[in-house]
Amino acid sequence: MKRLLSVFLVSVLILSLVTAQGTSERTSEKDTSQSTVTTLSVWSFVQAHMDAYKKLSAVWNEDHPDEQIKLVDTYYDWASMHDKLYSCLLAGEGAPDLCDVEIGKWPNFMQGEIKFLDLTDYVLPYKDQIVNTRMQVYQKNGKQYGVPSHIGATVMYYNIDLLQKAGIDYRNIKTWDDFANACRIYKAKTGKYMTYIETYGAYEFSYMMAELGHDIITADGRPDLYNADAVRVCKLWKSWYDEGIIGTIPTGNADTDAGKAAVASGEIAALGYPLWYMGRFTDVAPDLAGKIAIAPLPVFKDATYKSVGLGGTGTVVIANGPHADLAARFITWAKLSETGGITLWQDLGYDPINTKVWTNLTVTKDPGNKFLKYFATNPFDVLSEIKDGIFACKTMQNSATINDYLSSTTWNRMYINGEDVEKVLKETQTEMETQAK
Amino acid sequence: MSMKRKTLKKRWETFSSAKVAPYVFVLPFLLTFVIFFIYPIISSVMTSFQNVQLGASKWVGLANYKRLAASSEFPTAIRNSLLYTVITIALMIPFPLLFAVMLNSKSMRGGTFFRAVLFMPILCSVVVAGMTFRFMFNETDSALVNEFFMKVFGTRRIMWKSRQWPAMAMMVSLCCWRWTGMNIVYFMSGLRSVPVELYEAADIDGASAAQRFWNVTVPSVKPTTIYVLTISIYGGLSMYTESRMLWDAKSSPMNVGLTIVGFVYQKGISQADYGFASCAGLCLLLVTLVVNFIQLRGTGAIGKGGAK
Repeated sequence: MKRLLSVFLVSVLILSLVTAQGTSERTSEKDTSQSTVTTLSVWSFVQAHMDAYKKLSAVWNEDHPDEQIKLVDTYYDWASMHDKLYSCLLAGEGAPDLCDVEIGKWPNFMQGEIKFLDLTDYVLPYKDQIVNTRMQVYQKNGKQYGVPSHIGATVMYYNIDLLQKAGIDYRNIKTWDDFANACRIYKAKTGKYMTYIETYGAYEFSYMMAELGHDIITADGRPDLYNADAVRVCKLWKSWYDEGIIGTIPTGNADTDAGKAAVASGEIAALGYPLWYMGRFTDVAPDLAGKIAIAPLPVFKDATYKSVGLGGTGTVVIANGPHADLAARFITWAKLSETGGITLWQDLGYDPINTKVWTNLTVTKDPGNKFLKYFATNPFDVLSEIKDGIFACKTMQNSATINDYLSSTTWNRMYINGEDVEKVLKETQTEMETQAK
Repeated sequence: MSMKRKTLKKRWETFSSAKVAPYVFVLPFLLTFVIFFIYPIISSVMTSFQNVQLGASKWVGLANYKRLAASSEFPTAIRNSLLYTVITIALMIPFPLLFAVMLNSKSMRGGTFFRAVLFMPILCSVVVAGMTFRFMFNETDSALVNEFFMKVFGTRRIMWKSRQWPAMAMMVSLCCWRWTGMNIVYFMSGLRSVPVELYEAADIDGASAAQRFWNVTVPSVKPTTIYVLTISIYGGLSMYTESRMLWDAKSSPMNVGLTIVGFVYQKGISQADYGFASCAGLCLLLVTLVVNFIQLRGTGAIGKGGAK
């Protein structure tokens, strides 16, 4: 009996070992019922992106019955997806046909031999309709390697309801001095913080620096963190924090689950974030519908810019994929054409790169659009106010290292540990210089 | 035809003779060791002198080592890993041994049941356990652990993920929850090999329970203790998955949760700097070798006296 049992167990083990296999991705199949349907694999860290691409692929299939596409999407979280993509490219196999690459990780893929397809020619048909400064971020040596989804212009989101209770009208806030005064009044009247400083990520720092026309890296990608503008910006935020008129946000960032929960629960009355954050509001804070106004960022009196494009995802085509050409034609159409821009706006709330959408009144004044219904002001109005003053940040070989270090150390030392701003910036600059590639 | 058969037969006999057979048996292990350990180490050494990029790599000499020496994050990672290792060993050898003795004793009821229950956390995936602990140790008032501390001990909200010692406590608690059962199993098997006569002799000499424990049990399970110590040192210094799950793949504030392997992963894969990461990986190898060598020498497992 025992022998029988052990024989049985051993055979089960062997059987499970033999039959356990990974699934292999097929990259193309012939659908016998109609003309060729090409299966394209796409990876992203935002499921909503892939849903939008699939929706657009249906439109593509109608217009291109001989070159139909079937998208197979795979979701990974932000960190894992980029790690996996990098590993696949280094190993030379396993990469998908299309992949979303977030701007924070973009530099990792721009060093050495670039494994993405050169999309310059594919982008040409749309050149006159799109905001080219945003396209530059995803270029290297003049060649286009990624296609962005939006401009990502940074604006200020105000909770009109909460501000009114403190007697503040957001429309009177034009400069950072106005903003600081509003914070003071808000704290005095309600005992709460009007806004917060992020300790993970660098948006507050970035958009103030952008107004002064200053990036966090030099033209050749070396860190540029210890300079008069940086000290001025950090000292300003620190002075507000020390004065007790601004707070910090759980997890240090407004785009995490806990951060979004803080925004949704009304703990924050003002939030400086890119336009793509609109989708977070509609997803997570349905109770705040009609209470959130979008307005241009407050500015410095000596500011040379009004806003900056932050965040962003460039979709890439892997160069040696078997269907690279088709994938390239599809994705450039999906993201840069007017149709694509409209879908990305309607489904994701992304400020479109294609400027024809901005003047398409059926879209920009559409009373049924969920974002236009949700927000008290029209983001396209804000966009036209700031469109001539949008700074373009560069992202280069050391950007990922710099952003990681700022997030883990710099902001924590300044705000949580209360160290001197200049000292921290100087030491950050030194550390980044020794670690620079 | 018969000549061929004769040579084949002779070859087989030589092959299976007592001289050659041992090498044949050791061959699988040797091959695995060379392919999966020696080759990667040599490869890492070579990579550490390069700047690895997609497509081609450049030889940069000692540049990576210089950057490692100048980095302020690497000492933090080493400190965190060493601290974590020391604390987990301090907790994970005495207590499981004590529990093993308790579970082994005749007056223990349902010892098998408890042993099974204590072993179950090991079967749980580290990823799942890490995620659950991450939610439990959230830095809000309503998170499980904070609520417990606030209600039972009346403390304020504890920032588990942002401060050095709370973060260390969080990581250590995950380790203790997960590995206590394993160490109990090791020690229980060690206890089984202690000759009963020793205990009987101690009883005759009038030893108390504590004296029996210190003077009979502890010395007798020394080989097991050394083994558990060695793997705990390795496990502690190479911890990564737990800290990755606890901070959800993001950098921890002030790098309180950064371990050596965490540093290697962050530089190698997240920041696309394989050469630099290889450098750090070799340092980890060195640190582990040194610590374990000292430990094994100190406990007498290797060196002059040999295993005692």
